[in-house]
Amino acid sequence: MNEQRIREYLQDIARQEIADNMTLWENMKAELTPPRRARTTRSMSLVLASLFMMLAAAAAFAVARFQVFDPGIEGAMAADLVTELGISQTIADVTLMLDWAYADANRIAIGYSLTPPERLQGAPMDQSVMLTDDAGSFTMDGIGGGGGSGDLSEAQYIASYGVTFFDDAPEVLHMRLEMTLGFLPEVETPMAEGGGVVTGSGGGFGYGGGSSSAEEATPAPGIRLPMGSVSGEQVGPFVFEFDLPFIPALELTPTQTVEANGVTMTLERMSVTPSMTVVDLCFDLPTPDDWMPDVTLTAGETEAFLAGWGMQDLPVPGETRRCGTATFYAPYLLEPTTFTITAAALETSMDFTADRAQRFEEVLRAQGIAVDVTDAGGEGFNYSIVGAPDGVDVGRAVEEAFDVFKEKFAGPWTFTVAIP
Amino acid sequence: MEDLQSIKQLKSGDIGGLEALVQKYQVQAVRTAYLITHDRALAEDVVQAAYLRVYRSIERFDVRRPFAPYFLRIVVNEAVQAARRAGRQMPLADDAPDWDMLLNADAPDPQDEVEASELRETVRRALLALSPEQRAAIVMRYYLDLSEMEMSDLLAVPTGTIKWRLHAARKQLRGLLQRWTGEG
Repeated sequence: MNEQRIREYLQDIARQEIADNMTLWENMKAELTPPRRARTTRSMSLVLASLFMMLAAAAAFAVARFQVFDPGIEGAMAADLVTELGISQTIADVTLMLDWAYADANRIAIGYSLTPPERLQGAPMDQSVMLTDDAGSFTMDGIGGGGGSGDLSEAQYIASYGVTFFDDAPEVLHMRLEMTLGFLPEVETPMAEGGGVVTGSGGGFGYGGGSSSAEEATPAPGIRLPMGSVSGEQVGPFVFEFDLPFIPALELTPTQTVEANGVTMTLERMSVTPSMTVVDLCFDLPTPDDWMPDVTLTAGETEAFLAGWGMQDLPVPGETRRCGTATFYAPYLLEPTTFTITAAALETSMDFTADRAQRFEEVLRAQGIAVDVTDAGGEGFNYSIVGAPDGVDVGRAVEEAFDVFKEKFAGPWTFTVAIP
Repeated sequence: MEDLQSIKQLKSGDIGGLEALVQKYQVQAVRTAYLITHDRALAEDVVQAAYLRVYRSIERFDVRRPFAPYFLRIVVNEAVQAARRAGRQMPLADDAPDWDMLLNADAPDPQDEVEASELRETVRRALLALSPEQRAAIVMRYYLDLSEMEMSDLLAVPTGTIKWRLHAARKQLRGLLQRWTGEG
């Protein structure tokens, strides 16, 4: 496919339809009102106190029914911050029960149960989800982690959605959830045992040397597609409307600077909610390469789960310092504690080469893991795990094998922050 | 006027700062929204709504961060949601022109406006056959010219998700090519 040709056509269509001299300003002026001020003066503790009162009636919530693979949601559950819903809808013999929901300034999570008819039990499943509230308080960024459990006749799932709230979010969100399910035909898997198929690609697309879908081999509800598109036999949309308390973030600016191995790193900002902590880090680049920190967070005694890392600015040629944002599923139980953020090293990806792909294969084979590696036509490589011994953590093994595509610059840079 | 100055002006309550941001980014933003929604009026509504959201939440905007990626993120997300609500997706047609020629042949003679117009229409139809999310991925990659890492940063989703979306969109385009040209 000629990508340059696509660029040209898109430019052409855009220019043809939208004139260079178009203007929105006159229409917009009429709609403008003075900006509302951010609610910086409101005490988070007062808000949370009211939330506790609202949630007291939900004490009988059956948290224990769910196996949770997310320390942040575990924390929110432990602090009784999730809202029990217990509302269900049945469409085409498929019953979807919305068990609970949770919203804070960094994400929204839902727990739901699914009871499909016998003919669909065990089928792989797509899902399309749209979350909105009637005040337009947030935009959805994407789907995060999740997990599931249960037998073939009734399965329980947790889904987490990255959201961006605007500063006028109300204390209670009047939510609407639309979910469409797509049940796919069962497919033969090339891996007979060991928990599922692990496929992925890598080599040549920046940090990390590629990606792995290893987590999807856990009991998660199959493939998750981008919102709005599902495959297979579609059932839905299931529509639920419910109220959900909104928990604001605790915003901190520690501005701590640590030097290690001649490189300075600064912890600029933290946004802490009961289920997630967002951390802004800035650091010197040891070389002009594409360096990123290998960063972890310990919340009290709990090791948080790194949900993502993103740069704050687009890369600029000649830059010597870079800032990025790390997102952690970290529990904050609304009690004073200490968070420790450690960047053990800086890492940069190395270009895909046949030698490194072979080394990747060898590292996995050394653990008894059989893998098919194929060239992706100049865009790195694709791989498929086709066999693994019982008890081997395939996802972790793949993650470690990707080290052959990384170069490391040793730290560590450690920051200790008192959370009030 | 630099974005930082405009934002500081807006933070102080002066809507002249917003006007400067509108004048600077409106054309790129509306074109981006149009390529996702394929509806000029809807695209303008999306961008106006995005600017109004910026206006309402400007006090929370971190002035150390670049404005353009922040704003385009809102525009793309809003355009996808608007396209989804509008349900504008063209059914596949059997009489479409040859995608192979579109994407691989020599560029058309610029003098031949009729041919150029036909090609534009074909690409427009191909885009409409994609889901809004796939359209957004194509638009960000090939119209805004963002790398996969930049797209990942802009949408705050893992690079692997971006790669997946682009892969799915390209696959869909190839499928259209096969269907419309009869190639298997």
